[in-house]
Amino acid sequence: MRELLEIGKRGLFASNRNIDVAGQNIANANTPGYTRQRAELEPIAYQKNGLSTGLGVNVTTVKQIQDEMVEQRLRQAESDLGGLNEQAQIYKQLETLLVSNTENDLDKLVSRFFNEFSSLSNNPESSALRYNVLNAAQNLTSTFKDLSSGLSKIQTDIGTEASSKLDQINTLLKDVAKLNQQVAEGQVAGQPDNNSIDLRRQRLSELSNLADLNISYNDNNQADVRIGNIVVVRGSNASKLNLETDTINNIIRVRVDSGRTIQSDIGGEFGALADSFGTVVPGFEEKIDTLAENIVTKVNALHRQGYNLKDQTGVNFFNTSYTSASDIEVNIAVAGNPERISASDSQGEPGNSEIAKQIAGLLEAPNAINGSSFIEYTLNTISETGFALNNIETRMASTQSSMSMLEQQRASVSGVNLDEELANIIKFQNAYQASARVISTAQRMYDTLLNMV
Amino acid sequence: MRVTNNSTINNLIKEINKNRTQWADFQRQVSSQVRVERPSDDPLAYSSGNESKSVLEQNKQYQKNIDSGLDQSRYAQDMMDEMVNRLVELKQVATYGANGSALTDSDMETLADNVASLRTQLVDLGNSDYQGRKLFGGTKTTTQPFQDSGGTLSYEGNNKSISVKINGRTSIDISVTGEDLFAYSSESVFDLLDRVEQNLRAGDASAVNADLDNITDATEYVASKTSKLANNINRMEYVYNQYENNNLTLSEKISRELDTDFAEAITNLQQLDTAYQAALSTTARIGNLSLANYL
Repeated sequence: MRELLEIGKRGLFASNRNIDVAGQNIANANTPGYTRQRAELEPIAYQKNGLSTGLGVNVTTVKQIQDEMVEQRLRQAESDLGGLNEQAQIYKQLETLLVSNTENDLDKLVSRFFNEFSSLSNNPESSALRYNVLNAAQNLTSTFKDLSSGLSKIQTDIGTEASSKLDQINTLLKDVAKLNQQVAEGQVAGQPDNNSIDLRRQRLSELSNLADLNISYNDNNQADVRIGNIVVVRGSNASKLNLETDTINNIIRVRVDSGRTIQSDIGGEFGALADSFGTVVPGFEEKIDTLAENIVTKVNALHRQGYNLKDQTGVNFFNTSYTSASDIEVNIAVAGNPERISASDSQGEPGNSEIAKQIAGLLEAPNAINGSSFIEYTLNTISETGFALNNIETRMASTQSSMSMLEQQRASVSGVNLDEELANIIKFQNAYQASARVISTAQRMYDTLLNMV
Repeated sequence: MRVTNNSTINNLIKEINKNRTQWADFQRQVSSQVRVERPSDDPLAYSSGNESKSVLEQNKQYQKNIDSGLDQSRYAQDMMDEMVNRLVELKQVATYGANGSALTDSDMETLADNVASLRTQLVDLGNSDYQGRKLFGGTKTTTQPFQDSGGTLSYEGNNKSISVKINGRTSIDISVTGEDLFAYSSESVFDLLDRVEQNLRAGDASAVNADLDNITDATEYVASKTSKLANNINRMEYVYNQYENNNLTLSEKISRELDTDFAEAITNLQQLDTAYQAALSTTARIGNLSLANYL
């Protein structure tokens, strides 16, 4: 009969524990990263007089319900999405820089510059038309310079952003190492530290946003983390990552304090920053430079052959020492003296505008630059941002949809369903009442016995 | 599959956000009337639309060139018409003078003076300029083409005609060089005038008579140059109108590529509106469903 009291007590206790767990689940239903818990019950075996009845129930452990496979795929999706997001932001900046949708866009200014030469050819003696040519040229050169400095500003910003992202990575790596320590302690003690495991999962998911992680677990359930196939967390030790920026060759790399470098396959937001720094922005810089250089050399080649109103020949229109977008400028000798623009192809013929016509004709030349016309080349360069953004958006949409599927999978395993928890509460409340009834029955049985005396 | 409260709500939030984003885009399209503002709105349409814009600009530039060419060549044509008129007058004076027997010496002298005055007028016409630009000196547009020093007339221009660029390949002459304009035969119109004047002063009616055919030839020659210029003017007007038509097509194309199709945008907006409202009302309902209500 003593067993009956014990069984009732344990039943009360188990129900109580289960209601606790349901309460915890309900309370954390909206906590990010929270994993649903369940109290594991086990009957206590007991033999008496050769009969096996049992001594009630025991709560062996409070277990987290999760699927590591799904977690891993989620982390991958998160790092993809983080990278795409970062890329999209950089391309948006580039697009905003290159396109204002006004008359001051590069393609419009290139076209205006050559068209002013066309106007000049109607009346090459006119100083008003000559001033117009100079104006258009100066608008063009200053826009080239603006774009060039805008691009290097974006490049600098990327460097700064990468450095702050790496700081975040370092902090998170340290957190993970510390949590690994706590998880291992719980593991050794025989009771898993669910709280620390949840927190660590949360940190790892934040880390995945920043870089692509490769995670393996050791016997003590500690997470070893690799980035770019280099170990950055082993057990409770985290490496310190240092940023190395090479602004000459446009390279961002990460040096681990062990001395090894991570340069490729970093992934995530940081990887996107490193890639943009290495190829995207320099690519645009190169294209704008090529355009500037071709305009300078092609216009100069024709202009030099011509004669200006002062009957000088061999004069360059653009300064030949500067052929990149950052320093392109109109030849000083011409800039202040519009009569020095060469329009004629023969000496002493102010009404001759052959050279002006030929320069104007460059606009339509189908092979002016890398097999396309100046305008095609400029528009291709500008719309590249749009093509890239569209591509990124498509990939983002598909990553997002696979991510939301994975999230649903995770939620269906690890998420809290309030109705389910409420139903559990009802169930265990009933069980609690029933166990209480067992105890009162035991008590009455004692009473019955005692009354016999 | 277990469905949790959070996953339901997250899904709804996602759908609502998606609707919101599309809504904002259509709203922008309708209010700005531009579908493609930036390359990312539609990169293909952006680049092909803006390429067409650049062609349109180029066409307009050629139209500007033609405008300028038409102004100059119409003015040159007027001047050349005047020259023909002067030559017709010359023919009258010479015909009168060829009838020498009925005329006194002083009559002949007066006729000779008339011819001299016609010559001056022709020189002045040959030196005419349009807004400071000499029209009949070839490409030497800033020097006086016909210079008279002590009765000898020299041509200081050259024989390259001024022209304007009317398309990628073609330039069109907008005037006639002074050299070409007066070279009606192996001699120039001015040589002819000088001789007629001299013969009139000498009272040599038969010599004047002998030049009458030459005067007719010279008149016809200058008139033929005028009609050649008129041909160029017609050609420029024709090309101008071609550009005008072409521009219309281009503008339509640009608008098709870059502008908002209102009917489509508004239909889309209405569709989204319905979807959005449905999502909102479902959210509101699902939020109310809970076992807690029945406990």
